[in-house]
Amino acid sequence: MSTLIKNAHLVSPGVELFGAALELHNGRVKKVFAAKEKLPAGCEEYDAAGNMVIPGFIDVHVHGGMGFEVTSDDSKATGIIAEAKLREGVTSFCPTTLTLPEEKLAASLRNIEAYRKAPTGSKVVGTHLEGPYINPECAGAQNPAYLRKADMGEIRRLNAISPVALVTYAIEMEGNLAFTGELCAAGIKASCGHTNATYAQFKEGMRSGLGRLTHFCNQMTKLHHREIGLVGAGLMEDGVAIEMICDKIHLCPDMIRLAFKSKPIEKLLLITDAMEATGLPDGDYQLGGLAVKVSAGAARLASNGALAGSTLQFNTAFKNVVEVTGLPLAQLVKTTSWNQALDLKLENLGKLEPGYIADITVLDDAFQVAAVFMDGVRKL
Amino acid sequence: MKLVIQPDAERAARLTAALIAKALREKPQLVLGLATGRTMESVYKNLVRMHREEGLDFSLCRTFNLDEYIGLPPDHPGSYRYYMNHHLFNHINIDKRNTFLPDGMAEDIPSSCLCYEERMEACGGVDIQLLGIGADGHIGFNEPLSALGSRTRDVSLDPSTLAVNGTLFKNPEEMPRRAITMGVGTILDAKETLLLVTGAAKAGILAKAVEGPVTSMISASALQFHPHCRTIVDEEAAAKLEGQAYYRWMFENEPEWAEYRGK
Repeated sequence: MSTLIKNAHLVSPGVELFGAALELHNGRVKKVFAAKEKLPAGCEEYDAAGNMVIPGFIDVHVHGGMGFEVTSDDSKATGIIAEAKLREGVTSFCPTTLTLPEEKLAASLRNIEAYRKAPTGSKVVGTHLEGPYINPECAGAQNPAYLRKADMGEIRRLNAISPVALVTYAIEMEGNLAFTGELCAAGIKASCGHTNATYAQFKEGMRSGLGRLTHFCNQMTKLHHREIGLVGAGLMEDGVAIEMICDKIHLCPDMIRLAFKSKPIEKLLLITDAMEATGLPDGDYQLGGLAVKVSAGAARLASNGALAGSTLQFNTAFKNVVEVTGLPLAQLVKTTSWNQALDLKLENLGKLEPGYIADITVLDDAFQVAAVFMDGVRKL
Repeated sequence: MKLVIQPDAERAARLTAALIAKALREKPQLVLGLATGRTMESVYKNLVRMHREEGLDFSLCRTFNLDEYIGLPPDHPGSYRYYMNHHLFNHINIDKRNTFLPDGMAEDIPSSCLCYEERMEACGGVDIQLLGIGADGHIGFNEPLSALGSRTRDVSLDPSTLAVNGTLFKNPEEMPRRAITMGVGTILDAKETLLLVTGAAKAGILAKAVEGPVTSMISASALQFHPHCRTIVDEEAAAKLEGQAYYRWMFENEPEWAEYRGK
């Protein structure tokens, strides 16, 4: 049986239609109907009531939420986080680990894998390993005790437990150029983060297949007029994709505008970088074993005040870029799903066109999530 | 024109793919002119491999194909849209909305041809045009006597083309007799052209196109006018070239080829 989403303000990359309808069948988008087109009969109907109907969000950087971390020993953690992500309109996500010992990462991946096989919320499209091969000078809220040299053997062992989609590491550390080539050859996305590399070092990495920056501007070489660093690299190099935490804390509104002005929009990836306090009130929390204080939504390490992930929810991130940039929705929805799908080569995700997977988020005028469909089935 | 002789067809295809990859890395928004046919399949295999293993990124790339049959829907296995999806687009991270082929199903063909040219221009023109050569010397479907200044238009196919390409159809009778092709003039507007020719069957026509006089009887000979044309061939296709020794000397000595020598 087909499902029909009626009265939709449909927004998909390059497309914005009012009064549209979407027919979903066998988990896919079957057909898009413009206003006043004759609609098929006999479908289960959902009336979007003029709300915005967009591709489900894809969040490729998620540490936690609702008091849980994906690296927690609790096997229920990923499921609880994934269900919370679904309530933000995120239909696919990358659970993101921290700098931890291998046995701890392996245990996390076993939990993630168990959830991936039997999802109850947002779908896992691979794990994001953030660290442990990062620069100790840019550890930020990563635990420096477990930093180590890049080891493709470790990545292979972890990837065998559950698929690794991408790895964040510092390109300037010894051996990491060769590591970049090995990651690419293994089909794992290489992303530079927690790094004080120079622009020249990053360019060298680009020749080995590096083309991505983790939480742009945060824990990376700043732009200086005699060394443009990685902020400069991200703005300068059209082909480099950048993760953006658009909570107006990690990136101020002007920086968000600058990035949107400088770069091809296809290379901007909204993320949340959400930590365990997401969805909960201000207070005392932790990140990978380090004490964190959340105040006015900003999560900072108790020890040194470094930002320790965000408490941003994805629908709010989308609202923020709509308000800050003023760009057309049909452009902005690229940054929430389609670009991530292209970046990680996620097949048939990120657009609402015939043949695409029917992962759909419905947002009201205040960007609150009104409904979520996954694989054509209403989940929320 | 610069001509490079590679030991075999696989290495010729690999070099061609490497040249495209280099341009794409330098300019992520590259506008790539694409070709179809058996020779191109291994170029695309190499590009897919580089996407998978080296992170070669197509997310900002735009493509324009040389030609398409008239009357074949995009999902017909004989259509070039199907060929491109099957050999390349389905396997790389490209936005299919940025991939263009002439519309063989258009009701108004002349205006769709004009639109195709305008779209290329709107993208800033083709940066690199990949080309093969037909048994009759065609590039695109510019059959003998195609004007050297011709633009995108509908053409009838030469019987020799029908005989060669018909074998690619399950039922050769299904092969359309007409097609839409970029013109020779359209192709010459590309900033760079990259001609790949392999196999003994092409040796005669290659020698005529590259070393013979420019003539509309052999549309590939028009590439002699192109300011930045590189021709990559294998030993078999090079067999009838008179200047082989000179081409080899150039490959060994021109700095442009340094990074590709001995690979």
